[in-house]
Amino acid sequence: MRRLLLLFVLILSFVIAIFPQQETFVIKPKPDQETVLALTGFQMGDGNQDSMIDVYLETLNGVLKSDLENSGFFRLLSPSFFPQKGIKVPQQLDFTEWRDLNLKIDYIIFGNSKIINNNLIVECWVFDIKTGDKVLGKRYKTMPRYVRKVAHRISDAIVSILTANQSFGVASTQIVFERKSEVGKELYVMDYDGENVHKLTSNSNINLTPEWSPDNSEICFTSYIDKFPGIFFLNVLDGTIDKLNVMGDFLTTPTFSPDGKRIAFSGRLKGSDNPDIYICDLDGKNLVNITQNSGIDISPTFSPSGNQICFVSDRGGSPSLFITDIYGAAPEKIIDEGGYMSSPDWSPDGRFIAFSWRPRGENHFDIYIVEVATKRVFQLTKGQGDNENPSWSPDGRLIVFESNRDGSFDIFRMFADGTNVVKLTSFGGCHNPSWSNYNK
Amino acid sequence: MKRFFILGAMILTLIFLFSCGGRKTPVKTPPQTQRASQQHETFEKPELNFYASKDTINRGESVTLYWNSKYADEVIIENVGKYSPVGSIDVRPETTTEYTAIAQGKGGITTKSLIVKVLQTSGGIVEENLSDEEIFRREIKDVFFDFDKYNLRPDAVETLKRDAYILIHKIPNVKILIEGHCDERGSEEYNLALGDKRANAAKEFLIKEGVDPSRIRTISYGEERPFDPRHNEEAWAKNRRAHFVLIKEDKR
Repeated sequence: MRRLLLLFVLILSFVIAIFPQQETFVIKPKPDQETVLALTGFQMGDGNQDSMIDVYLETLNGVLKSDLENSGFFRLLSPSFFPQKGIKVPQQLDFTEWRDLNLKIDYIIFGNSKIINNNLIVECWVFDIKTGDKVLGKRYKTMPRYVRKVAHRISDAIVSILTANQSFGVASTQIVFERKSEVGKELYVMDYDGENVHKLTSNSNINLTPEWSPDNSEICFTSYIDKFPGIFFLNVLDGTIDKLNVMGDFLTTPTFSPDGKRIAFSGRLKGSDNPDIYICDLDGKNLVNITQNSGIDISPTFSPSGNQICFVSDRGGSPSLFITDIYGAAPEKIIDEGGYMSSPDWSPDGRFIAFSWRPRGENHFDIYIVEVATKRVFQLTKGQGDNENPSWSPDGRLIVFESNRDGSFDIFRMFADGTNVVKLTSFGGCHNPSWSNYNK
Repeated sequence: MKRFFILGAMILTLIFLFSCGGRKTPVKTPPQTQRASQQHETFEKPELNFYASKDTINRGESVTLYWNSKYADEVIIENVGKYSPVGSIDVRPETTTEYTAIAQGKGGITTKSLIVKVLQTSGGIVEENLSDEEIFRREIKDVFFDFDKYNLRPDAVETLKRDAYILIHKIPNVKILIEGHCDERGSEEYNLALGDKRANAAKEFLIKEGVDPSRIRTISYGEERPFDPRHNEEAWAKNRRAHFVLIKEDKR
C-alpha cells in the first residue's frame, strides 16, 4: 500500500513538472519592495509676476503625478497623510515630522514655480526621508508653454536617479503613428501620454510603418508619394523628406539598426518575384540580401546588439516569427504553434520580442511577448477586440499598441505585463504606433 | 477492496490532472468519419454566373458568352451546345436572341438567361471601332483570392487565360498595372507583402500565357484601398483581388 502511495506521489510530481502552471509576467515591484514617494506639490515661488501661475502649477503637479505613477516604479502617497504642506524650499522641510509617521515614505518631492519676465522658472528637490540626503535639486527655465515638458523632464530625472539608471524615464519620449485621412494615411506624433498631437506628413497619400532613428532625429517610413511603395526618411526637425536610394517597385517596413547607420527592410527588388529582407546603409549602398525564400519575408526588427533580425515569414505556411543573423544564417522559427503572427518588435534589453498573434481558431489579434532564450510566450491582451502592432518604450517597461476595443482603432499603452492599459488617442483610424528612443 | 478503491481514486485524479494540466490548446471536435459524412452527404444546388461581352452588337459581329459555375458537372447553353462548368463561346446571332444557360449538377439545375440585342443595319456590316481603353474596360476582368492566400484559384486561372488572350490579340499595345489588394482582417504590414504576391502571381501567369513582361508592372496596396469599405465577408471577398489598370502613356 505504501509503495503504491509512493508511486502515486512520484507520478503526481512528474505530471506537475511537465505541465507547469501558466506563468504570469510581472513588471511592477511587489508591494513590499515599492518605493513610496510623497509628492507635495509645487508652490508659487517668491517674486512671481503672472496671475496665470495657478494654471501652470496645476499642470505641473498633475503631469508630474501622472508621469511618476505611469513609470511603474513608485507608489505615491495620498496627500491627506502629509504632515507638512506648502514646502517651497529645503529650509522648510521638517524631517522629524515625516519620519515620525508610520508611512514608510522613502522620498519627498517638493518645489516652487514662478513666472518672471515671461519665463517659467521651476525649482525642484527630492530628499531621502530616512537619511536626510538631498537626492535631486534642479532649476528649469523655459517658456511657459513648455510647462508639460518641464514636468516630464523632472519625472525623468527622478526616475533615473531613484532607479539607479535602470530607466532614464520615458515621460519625455514621443510616439509616432498612422492616422487615416480622406485619401490615405498621414503620420502623426504625440507625447507618450497622448498630448501634443502633431501632423508630420501632409502629402495626401498613403504613409505607413513609421520607425524612429536611434537619436530620434529621423523617422523612416513607407510612402506612396512616388506612386509605388518606397522607403523615405523624414527629418523630424525641419520636415524634409528623402527617399532611400534603392530601386524596386516594392520597398516597405524599414527599421534602423541600433547604431543608426543602416536600415533593414522588406523589398521585392528587380529580378525577384517575392519580398525578402535586405540591409543597406542609409544612402542605399552596401545592399545585402539577408533572406531568400519563395514566399513572403517582411517586418524586420533588429536585436539590440544589431547582430540578429526577427522577421515575419510565411515559409512555414501561415505568417510566423523567424530569427536570423545579419549575415544570412538559416532562419529559425521561434514559435511552433500556428495562426497568424505579425509585427515583431525586439525589446530594448534583448530579452523579449513583442508581436501580434491570432492563434489558430481565434478571431482576434492579441499582443504577446516571447522570451527569446526560452521561447516562453506570455499573452498581454485578451478578450478586447483586435490588439496589434506593439512597440516597446525605450526602458522596456511599457508597450504601445493599436486596439479597436472601443470600435475604431486607437492607440493604447500598457505596462509590459499587460496591466495599466491607458487609451492615448480618440480619433479613430489610428494605427501602427512606434515609440521613440530616450530624449536626452 | 479498499486498496482497489484508493487505486481507482488515484487513477481518476491522474486523469483529471492530465486533462486539465495541459497547454491551453482549444478542444478540437473529432473529424467526422468517412462513413458518417457519406450518410449525411447533401449536394449543393449549382451556382451559375452567365454573362456576355456585349449586350448589343451590330448584325454580323460576334459576341462572347462566358459562364462559371460551382457544384455543376456541366453547363448547357440552349440551342448552342454542352460545355464544362467554366468556359466561354463566341456566337454570332443574326437577330436579337435570348440565350439560356443551364448548370446541371448532383444538387439540381440552375438556369440563367441573357439577351443579346442585334442591331440590323441597312448597309450590311457596320464596324464598331472600340478604343483600346474601351476594350480593356469591357473585357479585362479582375481575379480574386482566398483569405491570406496568393495562389490562383481555378476561377482566377480561367479569368487570367481570357485576360491574356485579350491582351495579346485584341489590345497588344496597351501596358497594364496590376494592383494587389487585401481585406482588412490581416495585419497591415503583412498585407503589403500579400498584395505584392497577389499582383505578381497574376503577372507571372500572364507572362506564362505569352504576355510580354515589359507590358506589366505591379503595385501592392495592401489593405489601404478597399473596393468595398464594409466589414463583412461579402466586402472582404471583393477586396482580396488583383485589379487591372490600363497605364496611360503620353502619346507624342
